[in-house]
This record gives sequence, structure tokens and C-alpha cells, in this order.
Amino acid sequence: MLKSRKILLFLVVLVATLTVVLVDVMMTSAQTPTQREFVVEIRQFDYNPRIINVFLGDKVTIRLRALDVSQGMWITGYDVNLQIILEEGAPREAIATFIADKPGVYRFYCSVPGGGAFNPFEIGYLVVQPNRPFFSSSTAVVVMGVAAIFLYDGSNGEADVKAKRIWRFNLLKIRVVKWFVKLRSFQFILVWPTLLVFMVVIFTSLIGTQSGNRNFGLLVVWILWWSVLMILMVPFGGRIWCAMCPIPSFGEWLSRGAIVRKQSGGLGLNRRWPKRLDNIWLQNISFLVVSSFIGILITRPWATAIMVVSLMLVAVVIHLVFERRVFCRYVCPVSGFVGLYSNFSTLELRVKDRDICVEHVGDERRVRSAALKSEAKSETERRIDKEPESESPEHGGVDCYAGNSNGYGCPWFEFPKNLDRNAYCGLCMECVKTCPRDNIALNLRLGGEDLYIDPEYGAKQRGLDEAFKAHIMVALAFLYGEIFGGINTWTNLRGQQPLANFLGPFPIVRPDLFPPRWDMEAQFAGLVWGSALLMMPAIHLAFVALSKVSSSAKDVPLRTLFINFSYALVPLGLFAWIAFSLNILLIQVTKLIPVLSDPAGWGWDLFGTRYYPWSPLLSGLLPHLQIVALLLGLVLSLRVGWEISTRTFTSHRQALRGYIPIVAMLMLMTIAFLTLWVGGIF
Amino acid sequence: MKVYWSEIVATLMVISVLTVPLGFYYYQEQLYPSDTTVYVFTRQWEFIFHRSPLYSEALRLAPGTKELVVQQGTLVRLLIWKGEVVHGFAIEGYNLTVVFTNGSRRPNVTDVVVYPGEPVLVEFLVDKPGTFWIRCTVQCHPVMHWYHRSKLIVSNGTTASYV
Repeated sequence: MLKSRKILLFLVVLVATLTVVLVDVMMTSAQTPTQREFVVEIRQFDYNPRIINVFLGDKVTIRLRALDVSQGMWITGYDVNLQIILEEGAPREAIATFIADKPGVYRFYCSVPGGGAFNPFEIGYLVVQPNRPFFSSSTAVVVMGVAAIFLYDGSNGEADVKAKRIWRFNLLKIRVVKWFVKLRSFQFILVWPTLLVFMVVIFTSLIGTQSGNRNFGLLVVWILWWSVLMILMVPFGGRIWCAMCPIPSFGEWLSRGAIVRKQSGGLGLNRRWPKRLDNIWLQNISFLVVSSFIGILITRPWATAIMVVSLMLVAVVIHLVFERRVFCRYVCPVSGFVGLYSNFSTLELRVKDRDICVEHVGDERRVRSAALKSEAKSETERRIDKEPESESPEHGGVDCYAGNSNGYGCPWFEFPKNLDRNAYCGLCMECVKTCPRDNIALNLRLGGEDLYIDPEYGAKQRGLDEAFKAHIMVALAFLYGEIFGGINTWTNLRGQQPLANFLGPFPIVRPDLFPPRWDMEAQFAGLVWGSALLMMPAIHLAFVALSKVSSSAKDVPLRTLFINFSYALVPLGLFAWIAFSLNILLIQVTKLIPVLSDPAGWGWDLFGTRYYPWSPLLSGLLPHLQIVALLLGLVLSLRVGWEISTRTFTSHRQALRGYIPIVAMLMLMTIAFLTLWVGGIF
Repeated sequence: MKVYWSEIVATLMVISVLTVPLGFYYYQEQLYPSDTTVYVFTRQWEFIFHRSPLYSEALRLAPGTKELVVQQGTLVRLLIWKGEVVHGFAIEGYNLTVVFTNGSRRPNVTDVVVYPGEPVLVEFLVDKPGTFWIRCTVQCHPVMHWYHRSKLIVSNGTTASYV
């Protein structure tokens, strides 16, 4: 880096830091700590006022009044808990006093269990000014964005066309791991426990109590599964969930005619999936359909059961008609974003040495035709099945794609030799079993390059379907953040009506007294589809158009820019979802403790934890964890964006100038997410 | 013919998963025998008395009645459950004994608080004949709470009864 750039960069950091300090000093010196009293009225499902503004050092007194039913108020971060149980003759007001010694935004939640189906969404903000976490993190965003431009301007600008292989460790070098994944029963061992849990989920959410806070099914699916999926499984394991997911299991077992062993001929028709649908548009649509009903799904346990069971049934039907895992690859609503985000994960399945594959199946052209042939003829597959492994290439099939006596051909339609992206590898480990040359590796890695390389050999190219998936996920990370952690969505949607009336026929709230509000459901679905398919892509398009103008690269089509730069949103999107999931996990997870003892809400006490009270975990730390997650997402997105830019544009100069609008977009999005989680404004 | 043991074991394991619902009913029957337990379903703003955990808001699999009719002289166990907001439960003229899941009891209670999804087991000996008000004792709506009532009718043996 040039010296002048270093000085410039230093100046930017200095000015930014000084601004924050100055604003902070001005805000704190303008106020002397005082005593403040707030009367907070609560009714289903709303606090009045929803935002309590105080200054650092104030002595705050909250007088909580319940207007309709028993209610509470748990201020996270300060762990102040007010509860009003409206027994006849009991006081209707609860008072607490505390010193506001932590700056930032702390959400308060209703702490009286139940309080209606929408209890978890009775949310307000305690804003302790000056909002240091928000100001400093927003400044950090600006500094990071500017620094990225300076840094990459200083880089030598030679794009690596092939991805850098920074670090790899093949887990299959560990003997136990290799023995385990080579077992025929490997996938069954993963699936069976989740199948058991799913059975309990279906049963309890259908027959058990319909109070979501005491229902095993609802809590396990929407609090535990979702958070673990987004925080652990996808970033660290890629599609590892797809390997253990029980939803397609019944279908797969029926179509194979076997649970564990390899055998040919099951019940399925083994039709080929139409070429027209060889993309993830169906997954985009199915995900948006599920999202349209998220309000019902997260508040009504029976709806969760219906969703899970109908997904299982759809999977069975699809497995009986089509070959392999068409359901997972093309239809499943979860699979789409898990695939896109696992491009970024730290686990990958690849071949050890591509030359061995080429040598095994012949020259390049023959490999392609062999793969195509075996795809075309299922008879080949059956023939290969009987042949000794070493002979299979002679018969025009490839062990890993067509299968052999050790295992099935790749259920995900992938040809391991051609794998250079995680997107559609389900980690089922069949290829480890079928590969006659022991050429499959399961690598730990520092991920990311799947996002900026074009698939070199595989059939599936980058396209608008995956680009829109990235936009859908970013848009919904924001929308869901507002629904689960914001104070406005529900109230705006419901107008003057009690919220319980909205979202469908729900027998707990008397349908005779409160008719379902389908107009509100339609409004909500409109918000989901509009923000995901129109608003977010439009914002992206605007910045991409700017990028085209500023780069003055006439030879790169706008469509290519639109698609390629969409992948820059993947790390930020993933970390925005992690910030979201941290919120629901830490706030809600202790509700699982009593539920383990009483899964259906039938009055059981299996482990003696039935009366364990709800309390948010690490709630003082939560906003800071979310900030760290979002800033990390920004840094990674900035890097991926630059790698994409160098590969999309021809010269370094073009790449840098085309990169600047993308940096601006990423910065704006990060600030939007910061505002959502720690801004305390809306 | 080759026997695939792993296949048989796997099949049995899958079938064992499908028996989860039976396990739930079996354990519920052990905890709350259906011949002595009446399930009281309380919600805004009514009580429904029924005989099986199958009474579900979602499915309505088991029938229920709006009034509780019992034989004089019996020991009635009520499992008060479900509901969407915090409710209360009292029978005017009777004191209740709260039975906790660890077996301990709190006798002579006039009313209990029922949280959503947390069933409360109470029992009492029906020794006084007549008709008694059953009512909610926690405000569950500013107005409608006062209509959240039902009746306990103590039968002298000639009418059909729940217990």
C-alpha cells in the first residue's frame, strides 16, 4: 500500500472515532442524571409507550399497569422482571426502580407465560442514550467500507481465476470418521434420532397444548432447530442437516425399497425431473409460501404439525414418481437457502485429486458422456450394480454417479469429480462408499470461494434463481427481524384490532367472537413476496447499475453483474440470520427446560424441571453479540464482493470502480440491520 | 436367501418411532387415570369438562360438557388445563386440595391460578348436595371475565354424572 493511502486511511479512522467521541460527549454532558418515572400500560399485545427513552445514569422507575389480562415486563440487559397476576383483589400495578447504567437498546418482553398466542411479540424498547453500541458500530461500518476500498486499491489486482486453497484438512484421514461414514447405516444413524424428535414434534404440536410457550413441537422447531441450523449447522457443516433430515426419509426408503442396504428396484417410478425445472425457483416459491404463513406457524402449534406432515407427504409422492432426491434438490423450502449459504461453510466434500477421476473414467469428453449416459439410462445403473467396481467404467457408468454394489449413485444429481461448490452436495456420503479409487475427501476449510468461482465443470451454473434466493434471504432476515424483535409490524398490520383476531381460523380465540382476518393475512403475504421479489432485487439492481456506470465496462452485461454480485450478499445475509437467531435463541431458549419435562403440556414432570421459570439468557451481551456478527458478515461480504469484482471485470481499475457502489450497498444494508437490532428506532 | 439383519433392525427402529403417540397416552393414563380424572378446559370465557387428553382445541376429538355433574360422595380430581391467558379456578362453597406433580398437597385452597399450558391438578370430596358456581378468579378480560363461569351440580344418584 502506498504511504499516502495509509495516511488517508488513518485520517478516516481518526475522523470517525473523533466524531463518535464528540457526539457522545455532547450527549452525555447535556444531561445530568435525573430521576424519571414512566407509567407503562400493557394490554394484549402492546405496550404504551413502546419506547422508553432514558439517559445514562438516570434513576428509572417503571410503573407497569395491566389493562386487560395478567401481564408482565422483563427488561433484558437489566433483568428487571415485573409481573401482574390479576387475581381478584390483587394490585393492578407493579413498580420497579433501577439505575440505567448500560447504554444501548434493550428489549422488554411480556414475562407472564401465555398471555395469548402472540405473547412473545409483546415487545418494547428501553433506549439508554447515548446509544453507544449503535453509534460506534455504524461508524465501524463506514470505516470498514472505506478501508476495504483503500486496501483493494493497494492490492496488485491480479485475480486468481482458480480459487486459492488456503487450508484444507481431510476429515477422512481420521480412521473412526472414515469407518463411520463408510457404514451403510451411516445416514440411518443420523436420521433415526431426528426422526424420533420429529415424531414427538408432530404429536405434541397437533395434540398437545396450543399454548406455544409450553409446546415441545413449536419450541423445538422454531427456537431450537432454526437457531442451531443457522448458527451452527449451516456455517460449520454446510448441508449436514440435509444428511440427517427425516422429512424425505420415508419417501427415500420407499423408492429404494430399503432403509440401510443397497439394492436396486424399489417402489418408485424413477421418472426424470424436467430439464426446465433444473433450478431452485421452485424452492424460492415454496420458501415464500411457508414464509407467508410464518405468523400462523410460529404462534399456532397445530400449524407446525400440518407443515411438517405435509412436507413429508409431498416428499413421499415426489420420491415415488421421480428418481433420486428430487424433493430435496428442487422442491424443499429449507434446502434452497441451506444450499446457498453452505457455499460459505467450513465443511466441503470434494475429490482428493481430480486427475484420478479423469484417469478412472477416461478422458474429459468421455467422463461427460458417461455421466450423461448413466443419467439417461437407468438400465445402465442396474447393470453397473452387478458389476465388480473396477469394471464399471468399461460399461459406461461412473460409480459415484450411477452407484455400485457398495452404495447408491449420488442422490443429489452431483458428479463428485465436478464438485467445486457446496450448494447441492447433501453430504449423504454415498460417494465415499462407491468410489473405487478412494478419492473422496471431506475437508475442513476456511470457506468462501464457492461464492466467487463459476462452477467449472458442473452442469448447474450460477443464475438468477440463486441470485434471487440471496435477495429473498436478506429481505426476510430484515422482515423477520422486525416481526420477531421489532415493535411495529404487528401493530401496524392489525390496525385497531386485537392482534389475536388476525391470521386465520384459530379455535383458541373464539372464532364466533373474533372472525379470522384474511385481509390482514393477505397484507402480510404481500409484504413477504413484495419485499423479497421486488424491493430487495430493485435495491440491488440500482447499485449494480451504478457499478456498471462507474466501472464504465461496456462489455460486461448488467445481468452478469446482477447475478455475480448477488453472491456478495451471502455472508452478510448469513450473519444477519445469525444475529436474528441469536436473538430468538437467547431470549426464548429457557422455555425449553420446562417443556422437556412436560412436552405436550399434559401435566407431566419427567425430569423435575416442570416449574422452571422463563428467563432470557445473556441478555446484556446479546446486542453486542449481534453487532459482532453483523460486522463480521460485512467484512466477509466485502472480501467476497472484491473477489467477485476482480473476476467479473477485466481490469483492476474497472474492478475497483465497479466495486465502490457494491461497498456502499453492503454498508447501507449492514447499517439497516444494526438499526433494526440496536437502533431502537423502529 | 440372505437375511439382512441391519435392514430388520432399522425397520424395527422406524416402527418403534411410530409408537410415540401410544407412549404419550399410556403415560398420561398412569399419571391421571381416566376413571377418576376430569379434564377442565378453561379458555376465554368458558369451562368445558371432558374425559380425555384427546380433547384438543385444534381437533376437538373428544366431546365435552359445559357443566360438571358429579355423584355426591365421590372424590373428584380435576385437571385444569389449557387456555390462552392466565385464568383462575374456584368452586364457591368448596375448598380444593392442590396436588403437585411430586405428590405433595396443599389443602384448603379457595382458588388456584392456571397458567396457559401448565395444568393444575386439584381434588375435593363432593359432600354437599346442591348447585355451586364454578368461576374464574383471575381477570381474563375487562368485561367478559365476569361471564367466565359454570356450574357444579351434585347429583343424588338418579341423574347421569361425570364421576
